Amino acid sequence: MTIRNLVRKEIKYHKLAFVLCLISVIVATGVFAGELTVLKAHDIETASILTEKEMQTEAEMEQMEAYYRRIMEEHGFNLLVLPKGQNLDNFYAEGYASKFMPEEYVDRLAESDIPSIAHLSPVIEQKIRWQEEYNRTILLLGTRYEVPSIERATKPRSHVEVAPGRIVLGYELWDSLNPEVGDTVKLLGERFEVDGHQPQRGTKEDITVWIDLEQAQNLLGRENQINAIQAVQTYSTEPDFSSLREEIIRILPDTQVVILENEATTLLKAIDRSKAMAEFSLAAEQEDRSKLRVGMETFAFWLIPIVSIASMALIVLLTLANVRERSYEIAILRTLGYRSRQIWSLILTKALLLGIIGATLGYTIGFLAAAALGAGLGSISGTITSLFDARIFVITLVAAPGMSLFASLVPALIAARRDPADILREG
Amino acid sequence: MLEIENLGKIYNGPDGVLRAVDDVSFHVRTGEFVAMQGASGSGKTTILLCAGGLQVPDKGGIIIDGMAPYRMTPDERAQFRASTIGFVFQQFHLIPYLSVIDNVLAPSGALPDQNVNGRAQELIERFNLSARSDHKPSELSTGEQQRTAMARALLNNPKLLLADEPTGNLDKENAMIVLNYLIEFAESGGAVLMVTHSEEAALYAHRTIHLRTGKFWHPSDNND
Repeated sequence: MTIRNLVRKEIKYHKLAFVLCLISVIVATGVFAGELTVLKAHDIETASILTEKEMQTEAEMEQMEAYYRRIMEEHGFNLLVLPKGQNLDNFYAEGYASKFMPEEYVDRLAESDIPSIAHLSPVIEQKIRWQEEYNRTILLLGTRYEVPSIERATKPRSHVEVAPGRIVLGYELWDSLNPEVGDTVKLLGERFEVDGHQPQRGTKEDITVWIDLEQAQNLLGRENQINAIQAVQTYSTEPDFSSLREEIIRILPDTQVVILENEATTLLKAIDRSKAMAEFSLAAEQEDRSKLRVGMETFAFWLIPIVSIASMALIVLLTLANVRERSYEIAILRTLGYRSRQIWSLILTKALLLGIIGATLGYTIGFLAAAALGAGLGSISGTITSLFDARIFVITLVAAPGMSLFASLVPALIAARRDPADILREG
Repeated sequence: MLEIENLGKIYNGPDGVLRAVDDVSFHVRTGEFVAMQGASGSGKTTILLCAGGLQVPDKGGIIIDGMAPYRMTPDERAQFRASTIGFVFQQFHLIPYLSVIDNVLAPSGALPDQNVNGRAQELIERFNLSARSDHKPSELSTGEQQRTAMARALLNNPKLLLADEPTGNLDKENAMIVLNYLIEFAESGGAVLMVTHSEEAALYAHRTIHLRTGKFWHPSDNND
């Protein structure tokens, strides 16, 4: 007759007491496993919500960036680099710069590789009299196009490209002169072949002629000189105009930078605001989820110990009652020669069995209940296996038998130390 | 087989010190069946528990089969008890959740290395319990319960049988069966010390010891 057989048969005989103890262990482990699984479900749900929100924000940002690039192509340059000595009052009044700076500035800027500017275009611009054509006042603009070495956005549509020996006319000039493409016109004594004309813009550009930069410099007697560099500030996740201005002036100290407000720059600011709003919304969501988790943790923090202590108290009481009820049986076993450690084993083996069965059933019930609750609330986006945490299972499997053994220690001690002679004499 | 020398046992009760056993000496030899009689509180059960290695005496010595159980550690004494002494009680003290065969086998847990299944079956047949082998104690008659307790006491082939009122709850027929077996056990080389109130049961013993307030006395003594 082994201790294991004695325990098995005793459990079968005292079914009700064992089932009551088992229920208390199941409730304690079920609450433990359930609460932790609910927390895990909450974490998974939080990660899913935040990822979805991040992806949504990212997609919206990409859309806005794409829109910005389109707008940028429409509206062209939004940065103007002028000589430092240029009086801006005169610049705005005249519509062009009267001061000059070396043409090599544009190369220096291109080589500097500032990541947020592109489409550098050096220009020389002067108001002149077109003596050959009714002595009318026009703007002569010499230009060439230079893209810095890194890959940037597409070229703005507003940029006018013109080859040496050719001329492009503003709409008003073209309309009044009415030349055909390929006709020859004279400007400041030089012959130019008409390359085309610009659409009507309702600006000074309607009375502007575009020729090659070098030819313009020669005609104006300003070899290797320009009076402006046009550029585009490309899309940046953190647009900072003042930093960009400082960066350009650091490279070209004898210049000043004018930011041209247009729809593109406004949009850039709007993107910036939208992004800040999205980040704020994401942080708020994170904070809400975090607060909710703290609430759930606090609830679990109190509930788990209370249920565990109640469960242990019930096990202590039921085991004490069991030991009291079995005092004659234990005394007889001692009389038959069972050693005190065998009496300990008799009580503790039962407690261990109680803990293992209770832990397995409690974990399963708690886990499934938490999973069902999560699924009911629509909080579990993945499969049920994603909620399974081996650590929680192992902790439950170790803690429940430990708790059951601990609760049975005092009753086992009483059983092992009770003098069989006292009990037999009472009988 | 059993040598009790100057045995003394004191209990501290609410009414002060009680001398349960006071300087008692006697022997039970191999092959002898000794009855011990006395009124309640005369110290019979205390002597039986001391003889069974269950109650540490305050004074004197006990030798069983040449060994002094109270010079052993508790675990050694438990092993010695399992291998040398059999107990039979008036209340039977069967384990309620075990069947007859499992109750008979219960002492084997104390001596786990022995294969005693054959011996258990033999005892079941010897005490005419074969038909009740799988029954629980609550399903047995008192005679069957006591016979089961007897079979259990004999499982480990003890040398000394200690019986505390073994016929106290039995009818005449069952009492006779038990007493006859005690004689048979003694005559087959064992030793029996039986506590009893019954004059009839005491007549089965080879000799009877009388106790009064923890001391020997002889019924012919006119102390009352």
